[in-house]
Amino acid sequence: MARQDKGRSGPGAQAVVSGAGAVALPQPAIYREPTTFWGRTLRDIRKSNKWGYIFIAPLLIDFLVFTAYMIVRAVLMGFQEIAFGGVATWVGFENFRYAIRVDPLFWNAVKNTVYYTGLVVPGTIVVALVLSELIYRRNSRVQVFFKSAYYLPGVVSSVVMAIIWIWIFQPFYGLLNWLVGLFGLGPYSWLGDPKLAMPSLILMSIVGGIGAPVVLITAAMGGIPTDLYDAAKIDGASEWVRFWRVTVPLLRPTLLYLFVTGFIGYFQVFDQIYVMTQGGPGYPPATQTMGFLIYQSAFEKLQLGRAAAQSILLFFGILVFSVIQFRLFAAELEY
Amino acid sequence: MATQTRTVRAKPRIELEGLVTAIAYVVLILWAVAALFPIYWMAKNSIEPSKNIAVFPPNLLPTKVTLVNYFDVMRRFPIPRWFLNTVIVASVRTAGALLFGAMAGYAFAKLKFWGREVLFWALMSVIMIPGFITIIPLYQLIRAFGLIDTIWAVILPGLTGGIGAMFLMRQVMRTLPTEIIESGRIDGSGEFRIFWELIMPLAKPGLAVLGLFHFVGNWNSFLWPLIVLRAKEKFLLASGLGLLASPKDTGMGSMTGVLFVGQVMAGACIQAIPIIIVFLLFQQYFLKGITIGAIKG
Repeated sequence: MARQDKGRSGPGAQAVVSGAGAVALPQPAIYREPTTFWGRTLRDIRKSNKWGYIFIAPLLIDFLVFTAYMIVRAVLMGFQEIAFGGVATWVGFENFRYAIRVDPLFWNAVKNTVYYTGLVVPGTIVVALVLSELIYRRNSRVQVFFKSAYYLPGVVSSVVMAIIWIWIFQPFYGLLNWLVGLFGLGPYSWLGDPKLAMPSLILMSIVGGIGAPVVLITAAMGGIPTDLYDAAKIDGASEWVRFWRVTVPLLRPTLLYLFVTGFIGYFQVFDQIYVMTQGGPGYPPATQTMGFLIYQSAFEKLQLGRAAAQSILLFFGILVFSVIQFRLFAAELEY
Repeated sequence: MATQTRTVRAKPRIELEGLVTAIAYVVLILWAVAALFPIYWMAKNSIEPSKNIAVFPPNLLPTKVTLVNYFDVMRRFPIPRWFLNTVIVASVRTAGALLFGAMAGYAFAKLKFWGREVLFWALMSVIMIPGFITIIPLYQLIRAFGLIDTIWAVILPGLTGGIGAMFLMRQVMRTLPTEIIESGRIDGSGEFRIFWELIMPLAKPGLAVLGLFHFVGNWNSFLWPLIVLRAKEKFLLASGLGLLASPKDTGMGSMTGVLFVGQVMAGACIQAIPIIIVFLLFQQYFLKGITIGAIKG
């Protein structure tokens, strides 16, 4: 194939050489610039810096063995039933059918995950947007202080934060019951009441989760040209209007990034659930999210095939939400 | 900007702006208190005897200072051992991410080789795939290798820092001038020497960010160690804390758990304080670092 092409495109290639000959480095007389796909590919491979392949080799091996191969295996496992010893039987779509049509816990977990993520991600971003707007005009020392304060809970392990919050939510001695008690409310069993458990987790996640969004939003705010604000001011726009008509539209790429990465991350929430509620309380379990359901299927019930199928469905959930968000933001970007 | 409006408008405007600023500070401070209070609460409860902690209304300041919780929790659990395991795992994996992530990032940013762009985007396309997908077959693979309950199970997978480290270093390497590489070649340096002696020193700020993020991430990693480590003395701090505080065991939600609050908080402090110190020392790297990964290029 490649040999044939080379023969046919000979004269054309000659012309390119003569045209570029004046500036190009001295080349062997027989050199011909290849014009076909295969010809160019062959040339590019020959001209490649071999060190490039050596430099990426460790990452590539790690990626192929522990990520790419594992993804293929996971898809295969989704169609298998895997006995305790590891013997796999092909069962077709049975695991998917079981999750979607039979298992009531699956849809409960979907509902819980969407409930949690659907409030935590927009909640975090709205709070971060407001606080960024408040921080942004201050001098850099004040900015750094508040950014660090908001960011610190984000570097502390989620397990540690969960442990502390268990004690804050504790029904008898907890700080939160004391706090709401000052307003004549409570006491509540925050993590023990099926209606309150998820809102409690959401509250905890938003309070500690705004650090990175605030840092990113204020950085993006710094990139907005000031003459846009000056122009808006000359047009008589109030601060409120300027915020909504200038700041927010120009932050769209950052907000899209935060929404998409936020959904991908929070959809997989696990640590807090494991430490604080173990998926409970009540039935159907009020805080059993997809991540925790997959963990239980795989490592408590030892149904690896079903867990793999659930994890593939989780991926499709993430994919659908990401596509929807890209569409929403893209649609609004044109005006 | 604020001063400009002041000159244009009349005096009442100044007072209004002062009020707005005051409200802004109140909101900012309240949120900072909410964000930081849990961390104070952990430290405060770790240095009080349990009978002083389990009181209502809670004492906001420590009433009695003691280290008894720290001694007790270390007697019940092999915490120094967990600490050592965590230091080893986090250090080795951070070193791996720094070296291999920088190598790959440098190659993707500066070296020309066939298939570079296709390969780069093929790697990037996997970023949306949840970790839960790979964790189940990975568990089987590690079991097949006979590595369950060994430190290798937590060190090996993703030792090179993965796509994230590569992407971050590529972003950093792209900003470095290509002339340096060319001058190195003219001087006759080998490609690895150019990378090690010319590029790496220039990439130091980026490496610091990558190293800090990976160290914190590995120090805190919970799910994977929880799955592959079985024997108590092989645990890492975070997964050990899960054991220490899980509702199944000495859960603080239960009445019996109340007896152990101080100990659990002491354990949490031992896990968290090193990370808090690292954060306070390198704040500016953390705050700048998040924006590197977010800016697409």
